[in-house]
Amino acid sequence: MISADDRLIVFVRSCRRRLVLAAFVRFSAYAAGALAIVVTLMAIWRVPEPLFLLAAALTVPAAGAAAAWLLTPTMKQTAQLVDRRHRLEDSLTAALQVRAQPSPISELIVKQSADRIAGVLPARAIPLGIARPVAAAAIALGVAAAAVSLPRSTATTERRGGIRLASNSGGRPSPETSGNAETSAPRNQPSSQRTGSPAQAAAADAQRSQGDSTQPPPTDSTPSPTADSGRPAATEPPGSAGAPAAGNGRMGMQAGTGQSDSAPGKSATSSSAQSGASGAGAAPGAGRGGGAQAAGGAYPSGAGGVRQGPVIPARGDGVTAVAGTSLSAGLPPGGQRHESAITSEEVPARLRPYVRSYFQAIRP
Amino acid sequence: MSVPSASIESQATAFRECFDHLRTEIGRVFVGQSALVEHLLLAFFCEGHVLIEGPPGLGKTLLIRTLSDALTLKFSRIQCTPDLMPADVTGTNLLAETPAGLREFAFQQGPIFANVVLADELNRATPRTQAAFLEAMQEQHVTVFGATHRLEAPFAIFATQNPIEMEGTYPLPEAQLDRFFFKLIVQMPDVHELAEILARTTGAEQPTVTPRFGAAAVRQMTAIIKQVAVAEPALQTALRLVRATHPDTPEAPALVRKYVRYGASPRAAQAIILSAKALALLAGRYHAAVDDVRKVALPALNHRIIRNFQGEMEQVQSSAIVNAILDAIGEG
Repeated sequence: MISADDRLIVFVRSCRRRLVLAAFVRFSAYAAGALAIVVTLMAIWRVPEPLFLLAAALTVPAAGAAAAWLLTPTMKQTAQLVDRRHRLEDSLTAALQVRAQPSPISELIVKQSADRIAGVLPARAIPLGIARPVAAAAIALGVAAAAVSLPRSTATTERRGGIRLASNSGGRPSPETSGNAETSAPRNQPSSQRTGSPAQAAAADAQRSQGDSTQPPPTDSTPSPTADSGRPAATEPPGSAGAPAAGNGRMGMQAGTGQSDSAPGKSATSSSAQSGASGAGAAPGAGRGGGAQAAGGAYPSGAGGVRQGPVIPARGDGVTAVAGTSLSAGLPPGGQRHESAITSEEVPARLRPYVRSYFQAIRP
Repeated sequence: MSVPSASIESQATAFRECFDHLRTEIGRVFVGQSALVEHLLLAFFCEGHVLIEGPPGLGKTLLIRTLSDALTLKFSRIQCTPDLMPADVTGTNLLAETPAGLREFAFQQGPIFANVVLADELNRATPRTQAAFLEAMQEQHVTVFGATHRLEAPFAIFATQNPIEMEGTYPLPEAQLDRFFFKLIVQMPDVHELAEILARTTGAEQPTVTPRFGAAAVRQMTAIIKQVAVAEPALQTALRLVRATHPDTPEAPALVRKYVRYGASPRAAQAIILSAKALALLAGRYHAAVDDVRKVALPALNHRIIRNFQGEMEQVQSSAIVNAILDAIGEG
């Protein structure tokens, strides 16, 4: 039969174990919450490495264990805690205190204390009380997991899109595709790399078109890159708009700029008008439409004269006529233009035959 | 080992029985004021002296008289007046003739030689006479003409004083106040108690008290109280309580720092612990707990806190200060 003294010690020890367990779980939860916050903050900048996440996850139980070890209560402290929580009138504390001194009164105190704890289970005496910290940690971890997974999926989609578009244009990224890739690329990449890539691709595209069709070799201006190069020009002041176009060696852009300069009263002075005019310089028919569009300023400059030029009827104002006349000699052949338009992914697949036949039909 | 513990258990049972008997018997005569009665009995069983303060006519003297009547103990009453001399309290040597026809000085015991002494209106006695009580209260003996005479245990002085008639009185010095185990305040009875008092005292039949338990039984009970253990938290609470009464200690609350000149002495801690032990035994425990300490803090500290000038001017009550201290130290 277990003596009252042994019952007392067993009870206090089991209560102490529960206190240690509660401290372990509670501080593990705190550590997990703190870790979740760190990971979330890191994920805003970049997705943490799996190895880092693994190492961080290992610190959670380590932190809990360390805290539990540091906060391990003594038997006396445990007894005081149980006494307070269960209003045992310092019975456990007194019993632990006097059990080492054999006397009739200490025997009575231990017996009395053992009787009082007879109906108390350690689980009831020391409730773990971990629901709130664990719930808070779970929420924090959920947020962290979402933060880690969300940017990764977006980046993957972008990368995949870039690859698909590039494969459409024979393994090379088209100018617009390259433009998309630029937006998803790191911002610290040099601008020369960003601008050089579409220009090179356009040049290669032009060479390919030249080889495919019976049209005369294109001049130094290529419509599609011109349309693309209209974008940076749109953000720059009118006076400096010619600089990037000239750098790319695009005649349409130069013409657009010149046209804008030559008739400031009629053409819109905005950069969109300039780039519209540059599109107009790509082909005579398209040039009229592009010029009219540019004069109205109804379309964004990035759309260029290639796409909208044929669709919108020309109004035949002086500006467009001048632009079309002056640039008709440098226009690329129709086959090259429609291939370029199709390649640039602006044309849906089902409309491509129609675009081809249209460009063939309007070929001068 | 089992025999002594059984003996302790039986003694503890006897103590509870005696206490209940006294409570019941006093309750027959003295109406209400259960806390006052309990504290009075606690102090008595702890061999402490009690200062009872209250306006006239509230039954202070009756209470002490009933206590002595309920026990088969020797009782004496000293009515303190300004012309009362120390020899009137302690006794003196008288010239007496022996059976052989010789004359010699023989010590004639004063009224202090009793188990229960009622010093009625102690503050009306002169300081010289009040000092005659000091040695008896602390050392439990008196010295007359160089001869020391031991007082028989149990020995307890129950002094009363009237707080409203201060003319011609000599307030008790702090040294003497500190020797009182408890200071108890008699409150005005409520309507029901007053009606009960009238019914009992104005009828033809006067309530009587059945005496039981002699001096030996009381001594045994006093001994068993001292064997009770004190839990560490209870001890710490008592120590913090006493330290917190001193304005220059870090434990002292703001009220103490502002209104207290001197705090309680170690005697206060002794009183608190001893009475907490008795209280624990009454509750059927063999160890004193924090709650016991808190229950006896007020009567033990009430008269041991000396207020400063500001405290007296603003009439800050000692009980308010003790309650502030209890709040400040918390549950321990």
